Amino acid sequence: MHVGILPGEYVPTKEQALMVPYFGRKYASCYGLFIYIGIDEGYNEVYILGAKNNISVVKNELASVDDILHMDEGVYYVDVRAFDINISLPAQFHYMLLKKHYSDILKTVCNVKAQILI
Amino acid sequence: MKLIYTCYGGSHSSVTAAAIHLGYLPCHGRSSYEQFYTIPFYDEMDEDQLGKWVFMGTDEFNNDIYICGVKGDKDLAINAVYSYLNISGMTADHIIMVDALITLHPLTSIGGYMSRHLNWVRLGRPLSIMGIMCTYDQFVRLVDKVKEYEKNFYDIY
Repeated sequence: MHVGILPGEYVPTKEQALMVPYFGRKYASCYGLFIYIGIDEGYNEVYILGAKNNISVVKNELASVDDILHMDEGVYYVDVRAFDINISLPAQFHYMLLKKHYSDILKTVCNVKAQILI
Repeated sequence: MKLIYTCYGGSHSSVTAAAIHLGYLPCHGRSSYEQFYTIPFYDEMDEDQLGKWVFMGTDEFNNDIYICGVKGDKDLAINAVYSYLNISGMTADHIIMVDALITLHPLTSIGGYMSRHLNWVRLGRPLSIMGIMCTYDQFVRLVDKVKEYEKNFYDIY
């Protein structure tokens, strides 16, 4: 949604949702990996990151990396766990969840954009 | 090079390994019970500090030694660091993360839980030390391996 793959105006069809890269797929080996999704209108790179329930550990860790290696990547984390379920389900179930939370996800994306795209 | 010893809570195993590495604890034979009370950060990491790299010192190879608590998911923590460095265009050669959560003695688990979760420090800390002392040889072997790696690293570069 943030990079425009999914529409903001209406709830996408199941086919549209299932065509989104990585939608409805969970691989244990991917936890902790920054996976590139696209770039937004403000030229910000958008990534997804699976962090299970350890997002605070990961955030602390990457803050330490920034601090110790003098990096300033300006990472903006958005916690969207509220719209997800922490078990592996077929992609169709994830589409049902997406439909249920679509307006809330849209609201989150709008809020994030309002904060980072000045 | 930055060397990060990781374990569950960043309070016992990683601190012990880093302390042996830096010479706070002996790297031959056994440590004494009292020596543990002189190690910085032993049994002190709080829950909200998990994930932070805490600086312990600089070793004889001039490498910075850190400790870090990563809860139960070391793969997640390690993936996140290397992946982050990768997308930032940094090389990860000089960041070495070492899992210090080697065979944990039950006394350390119980003592650590009492001290860090239940805040029964006066009871939990001695138990955790006794547990660490039972498996001390394994920590020494781990540190030996790490130092061997450091030596080879500088031979290669």
